[in-house]
Amino acid sequence: MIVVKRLAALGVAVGLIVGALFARDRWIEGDDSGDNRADAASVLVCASELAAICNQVAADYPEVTVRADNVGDSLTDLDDDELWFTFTPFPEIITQTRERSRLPERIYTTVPVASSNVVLVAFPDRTAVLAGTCGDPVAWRCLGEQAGNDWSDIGGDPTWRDVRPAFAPLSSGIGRLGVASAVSGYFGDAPINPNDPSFTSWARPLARAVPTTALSSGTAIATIEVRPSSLDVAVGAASELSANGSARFAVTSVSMNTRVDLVLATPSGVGAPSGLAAALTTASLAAGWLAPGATGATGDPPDANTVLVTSQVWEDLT
Amino acid sequence: MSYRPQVAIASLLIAAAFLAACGGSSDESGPGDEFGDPGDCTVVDMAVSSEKIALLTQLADDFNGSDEAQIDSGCVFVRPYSKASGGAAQLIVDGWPDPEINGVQPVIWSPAASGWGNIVNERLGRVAAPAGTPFMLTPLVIAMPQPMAEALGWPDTPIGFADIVELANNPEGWASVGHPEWGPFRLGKTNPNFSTSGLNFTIAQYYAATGKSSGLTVEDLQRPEVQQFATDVESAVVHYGDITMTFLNNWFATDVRGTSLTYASAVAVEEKSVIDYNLGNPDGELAIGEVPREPRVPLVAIYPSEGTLYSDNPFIILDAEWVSDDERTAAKLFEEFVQRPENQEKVLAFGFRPNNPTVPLADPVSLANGVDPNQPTAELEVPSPEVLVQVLDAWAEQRKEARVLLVLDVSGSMGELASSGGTKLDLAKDAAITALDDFKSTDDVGLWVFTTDLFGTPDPNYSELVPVSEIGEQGGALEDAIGGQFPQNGTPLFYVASAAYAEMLADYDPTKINAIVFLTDGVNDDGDIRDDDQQFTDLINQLQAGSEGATSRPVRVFTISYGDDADTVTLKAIAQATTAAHYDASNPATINRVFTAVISNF
Repeated sequence: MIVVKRLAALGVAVGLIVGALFARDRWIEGDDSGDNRADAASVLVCASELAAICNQVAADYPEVTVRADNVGDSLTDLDDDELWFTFTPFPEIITQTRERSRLPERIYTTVPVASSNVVLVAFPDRTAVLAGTCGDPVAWRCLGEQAGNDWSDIGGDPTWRDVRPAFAPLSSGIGRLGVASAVSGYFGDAPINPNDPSFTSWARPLARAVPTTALSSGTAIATIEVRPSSLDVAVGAASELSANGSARFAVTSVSMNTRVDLVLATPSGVGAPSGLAAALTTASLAAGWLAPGATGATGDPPDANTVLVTSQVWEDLT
Repeated sequence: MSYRPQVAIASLLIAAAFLAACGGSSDESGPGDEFGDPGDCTVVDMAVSSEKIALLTQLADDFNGSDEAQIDSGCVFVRPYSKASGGAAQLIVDGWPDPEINGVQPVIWSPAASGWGNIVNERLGRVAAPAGTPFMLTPLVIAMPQPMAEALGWPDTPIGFADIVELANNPEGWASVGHPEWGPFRLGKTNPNFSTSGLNFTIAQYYAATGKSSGLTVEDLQRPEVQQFATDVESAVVHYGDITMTFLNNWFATDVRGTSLTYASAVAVEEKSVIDYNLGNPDGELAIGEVPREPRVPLVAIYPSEGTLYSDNPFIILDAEWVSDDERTAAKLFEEFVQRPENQEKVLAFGFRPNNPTVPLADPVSLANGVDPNQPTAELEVPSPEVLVQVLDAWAEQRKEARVLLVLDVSGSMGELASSGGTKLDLAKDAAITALDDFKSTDDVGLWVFTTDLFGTPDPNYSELVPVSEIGEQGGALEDAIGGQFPQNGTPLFYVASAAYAEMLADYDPTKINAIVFLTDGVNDDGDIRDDDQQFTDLINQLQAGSEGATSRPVRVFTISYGDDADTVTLKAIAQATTAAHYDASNPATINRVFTAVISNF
């Protein structure tokens, strides 16, 4: 009888060990998302602006296929089992959009990776002139009112010609967040009203000052670094500016302080490879982004509704 | 028949792209053997504009030998080859026919500027050339010999298109700024139907005429003062052509003789070309055995004060029926490779501006090489496709007129069969007749044919079949005369070249481009080889004497080597002596394309 009991106890012990090992392999080591019932994902989709960061970590995850796509494309094309390295609140936008379209539910769990803020980047002389007229932080309303006017009207050099602010394309996450900041900044505490004629008059020259086709490096900040003659004031994330660019350009805050959060989004039912979020954070910090929760990144990211509404407004304007 | 008639906008676009498709004979090729055997790798052929073929060759070599080219199913093998942007655009629209003549059907296309992709998509009515990611930049500049730029106040005084026009229209020319020894102001610009530099310069001159930097409209182009401004700019043009390298090579050759200041005063080129020139490599590609030599008179880049345009060199993975999914996936690996910082450093080393912000702009984009990394400070907006087409249409009317003598070899060897079944002369006649349509109706065009022992002509070595006169009045006569030719006797090359030159010089018209198009398939053969060397020396001396100096009356001799047996060395020398260009039609099947490229000079 004692032998039987011992054998039974041994069997239980082996079962517990096997169970523990199984649980570790399946739910603990393969988890950055908190979903502890999932299979590890094999595809990581990165927002195009973040492709260089993804490339830094790709070698350490040979089992994961890394692909760069515009956020605008990913919003409709992302598969159920793909991880997404993107910006807040785009995972939530997918969830909301699918719900409204009566598509099968898709819920993402997001892990904060890094942060920055929406800012303006310009040559120091232009930044000084702009601050003299529009304040520091620069008021969005004022910047929009100056778009397309001569710099000399506000005390700038006549050879600078027109004030040309530029946003990244709406196909990009940075572009949508910059636009959300600008439109929110115009309305302030009031609800966003895209049909307000005063708003339309304000926004048209701002949206059209620089065609996105002129942004040969993808975003406004990347373009002003390599081709500064194509625009005057680049709207984007402060962390986009390279070390070389930091020495040449000035960075200014804007009146609607908007945080840019990078997140690793994991769809329910899928697990992220162990340590992936941490690796992305390390690579992001090396690329100039700030750690999540760092004091340098202030304000809040826009919510999903704000980004949806402001992106639609901007698309109509351009 | 009509010559350069008013045509519908759409027709012009098609014609323009067709002309471009046929151009660039001197710089085009398919992938060569230098890339070696790709084995079982996925081959990715890449058509690139000529100015960056050396860079892309190196990048492809580096990629093919790297781990990045290894994929689960094997490997990727990239093969770039040179193709003029406008030419490739038309070939894509046409489904890229005749790969043995036009080069293999590419998976990747990198024209000099994104606008060419827009033209392809507009013409096809679908997106065959998706917006490609630019991977390097270079702005359009006005290259000038440094002493000339200094005479205009460079580097302290901004110089713009308006200054160029003022000088070009001043009857005193350079004497107006204290340099009569430089003669009139002479401008070099390429044909905008073929060349991105030519297209961008033409857009820029219209902007300068309107005082705008964006929002150019069709109505703007129709204003009389804008048209006059453009006509004034064109009046200073030396000649046109399909590639800027013709001007740079000629400048470099005259620099050796100390006469570069009287060849051209300014040429519209990409900034990268100024760097190449000053580093002693005017066409950006060193031939085997060629050693770079710094010019005696360096060039400097003028960034027009009105603003300029960029060549952005997009990396386009074509959406064409000949591109497979595997090739598309493989191409993306190379796209990612060229954007890497270490490869963007190579972009910089070749004189382009990197498109990756992590690679700072540095030497060779530096003042030491005649360019300013802090310029340009202003840009001009690329016009809408509708306006762009109108720009080309307007240019066709406002460009400088030409006075051209066609000189065709009708010696016995022209009766040899070409691969197509007809004789070489048959092909040449067809090509010449087709090329007549490329002239402006007010251009003057005449025709000589030459061979030995002609009967019933004042000179037994050549016959003037149609005197030089307005082609709109005598197009039919030219067609008939060309069509009636047949192979005859010997090839008095030197004698006839000299006589044709003397004839054109005697009636030189300073308001037009004066030129000879000289086609031959053989070597000098006038029955007496004893005086050949002396004849050649005398000819070159005659041509150089007439082409150099402040008061020269340049008659440019554009030569065509036709077939395998043509005396290419001699024909190159003749072209060089008159600062013109030589064209290679060693494969008779290419003669149509070559003729079109030659006529692009006018």
